[in-house]
Amino acid sequence: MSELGALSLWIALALAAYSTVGSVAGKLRLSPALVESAQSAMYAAGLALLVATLSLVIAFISRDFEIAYVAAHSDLAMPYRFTWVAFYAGNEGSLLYIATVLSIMSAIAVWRAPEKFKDALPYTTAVLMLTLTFFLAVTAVMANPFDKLSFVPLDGDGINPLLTHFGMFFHPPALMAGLIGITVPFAFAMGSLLAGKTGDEWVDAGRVWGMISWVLLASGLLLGSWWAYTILGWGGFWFWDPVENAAFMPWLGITAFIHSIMVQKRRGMFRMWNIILINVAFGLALYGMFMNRGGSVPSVHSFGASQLGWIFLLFLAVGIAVPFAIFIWRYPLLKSAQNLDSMLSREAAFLVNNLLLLAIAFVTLWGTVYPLVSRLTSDTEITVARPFYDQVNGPLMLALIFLMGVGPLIPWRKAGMASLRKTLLPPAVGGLATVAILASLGLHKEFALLAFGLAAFVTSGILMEWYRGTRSRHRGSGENYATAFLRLIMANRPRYGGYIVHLSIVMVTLGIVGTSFFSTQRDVVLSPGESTVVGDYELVFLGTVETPKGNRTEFISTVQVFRDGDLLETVRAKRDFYPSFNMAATTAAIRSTPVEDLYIVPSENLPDGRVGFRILVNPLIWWMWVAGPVMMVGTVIALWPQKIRAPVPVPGPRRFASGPRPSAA
Amino acid sequence: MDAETVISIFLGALLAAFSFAVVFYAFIRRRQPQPTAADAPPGTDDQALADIFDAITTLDLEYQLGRMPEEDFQAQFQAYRVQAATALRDQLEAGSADPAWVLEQEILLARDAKGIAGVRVIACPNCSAAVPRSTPACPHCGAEMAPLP
Repeated sequence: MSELGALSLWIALALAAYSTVGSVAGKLRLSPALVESAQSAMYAAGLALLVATLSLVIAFISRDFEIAYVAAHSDLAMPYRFTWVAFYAGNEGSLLYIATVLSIMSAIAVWRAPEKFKDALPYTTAVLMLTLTFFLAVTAVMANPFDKLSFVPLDGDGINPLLTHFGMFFHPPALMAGLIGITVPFAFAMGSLLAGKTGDEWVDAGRVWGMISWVLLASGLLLGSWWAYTILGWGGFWFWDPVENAAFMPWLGITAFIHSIMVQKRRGMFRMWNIILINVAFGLALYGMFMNRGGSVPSVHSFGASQLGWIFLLFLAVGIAVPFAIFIWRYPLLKSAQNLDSMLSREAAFLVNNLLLLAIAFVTLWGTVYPLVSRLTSDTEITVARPFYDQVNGPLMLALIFLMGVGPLIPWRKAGMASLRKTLLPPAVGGLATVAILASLGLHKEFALLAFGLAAFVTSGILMEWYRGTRSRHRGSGENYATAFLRLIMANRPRYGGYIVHLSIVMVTLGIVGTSFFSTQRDVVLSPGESTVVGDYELVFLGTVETPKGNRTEFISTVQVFRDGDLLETVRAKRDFYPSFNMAATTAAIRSTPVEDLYIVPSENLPDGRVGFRILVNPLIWWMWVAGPVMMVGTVIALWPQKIRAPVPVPGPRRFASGPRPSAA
Repeated sequence: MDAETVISIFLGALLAAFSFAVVFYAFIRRRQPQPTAADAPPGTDDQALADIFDAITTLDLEYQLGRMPEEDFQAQFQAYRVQAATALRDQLEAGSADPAWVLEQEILLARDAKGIAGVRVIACPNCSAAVPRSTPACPHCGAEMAPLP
């Protein structure tokens, strides 16, 4: 099927290029037929890319090793379920995946674009299709997944062992979709500017697609952390690795954007600022893709490295320079409908939140590019490590959590001191009480105390809002509390969905603080029958069973876990050695509870039967993994379309005369 | 050339032909005679005016739901009134509307403005829901409402 795949790829490229040119030309020449034709070409490009994707999947399933990409990323021993992972195991497949996702998102975005945005839609289509044209041109010319070998090997090289993990089914596709998804709100913003529609027409579409990109990136980051935690064998989940940072920075940018766009939607403010934010987010997303594909900095994701860096760097430069030029061109038209009434208002809180998010993004960017800067300015390469990020980003993140608690509780426009005191008092009491209780229990790490206090502050504020709203509905309409709570959530989905997402961020905070300040680690070498003590746990190593498999040797070590003399559980940790890759992949044995994780990973199997173990006790990390589904639920609620609510009992709107209008004749 | 390759190329050619047809369909469709103003059913020639009326109705509903502050609402409403008045005047000048009907529409516009000016609901400062002005607490989120001036 390689011919069909290659043909589809080229057809999609031609259609995307035509759609780019046709959209702009049709708009400028006032030719609706050309605009419509260009739009149809965009839909057809999506279809062609689906055919190309399907062709590559079939090539993997049929083990068509004549295709170089299939031979490089699969073998006969690879279970069929990993076909999906093998698809994007290298650059060629990843680029095809990115292009397909972009084409589908573009088609849906244009199809569902609001009627009031119709005038600017050709420009939006052109921006989307120009981006797609770039990715397709790189794929077709420089990294074609359908290129053939001059001979047909009997077997392939196999899939990278680190990718044979459940998290890999979702982590890379979610991240790649999130990164490229930022193109959609960016295209709406650019379309709006190019058409001279500098009002709020693009806001609804921008917000929805911004949130979709946000949740994809957030899920991808959390799944990536889970993958690192369970398979990389060092017991942590975040390394401030350049490729991790490359996905984290656009997430920060788009987080700022989806908050700020709410202010424009509600108050017609921050028009310029939102354009700047979406440009920054898009630039950071392009930088993320450059880091992923360029391989300019050493990373645990080095299997994605390639020689495509320069072309992505070029696209990054154009992707930053051109939008800012357009912004400057349209600057005089971008006047907000309102001014900031007071610094004690929700919109001011959103603005400070934006600045903090951008500060974290730029600190992270500086840390990520510093090795490159140091290499250029001196002979030695200086790598920026975790202490830098912790010391600089840590306080900024705490300030952000504080604002997460304050922002939703203060009103729009202006808050009076009295009402502010009244609103913030209960959550403040909740936060202070938590600090007092933890301190009395013997917890004296100031930074951790502050973080737990702020987490309690945010949670108390959200629970207070829910309770107050539910009670009000219960009293007003007689609904029982469960119904009143559900109807409260459904009545204002963006607001209450946002609260659920904020709760998930609190959960992530608990996991980060717990593991950063209270984690215990021990590295030991144990013979069968030996035991060791870590924290409250006593661990007895029973022995290792070695099993040769098709492409690897499996070492499964069995460990009994005791606490206070009672057997809690018998766990098994695995270490697979892949001779063809000269690489080992570990699967940690994790005893997970909401209080703490006991994490056991075999780091080395010695010939005499002894095993080197890394054992950690990670408090509260369980909350971090639970945060993912909670975040998804919150986002789905926030995004769920909401019909106009039945008005509260007030006189109905005055109607105008209807019916046939008489003519003058 | 084996059978699989031939089938692949055939399917690729089919895809190319389909794409070509999709792209050019827009031009063919546009060449078909479009309905003229004379063919339009009575009452659809002033679509712009009807759109403005719909927009005013939507604006009023949104305002009642507390989705926008009063100042924004008034400003937008005034803008729509000007648009509607301009459209009516254009129709009158073009001779396409009955002067009596135009006058009736203008009176209705003015009356509506008066009705709306006496604000019946206010937006909750917390959740922005529409709340009757005399209510002490928001029935949606329970937030205390500011006292009446």
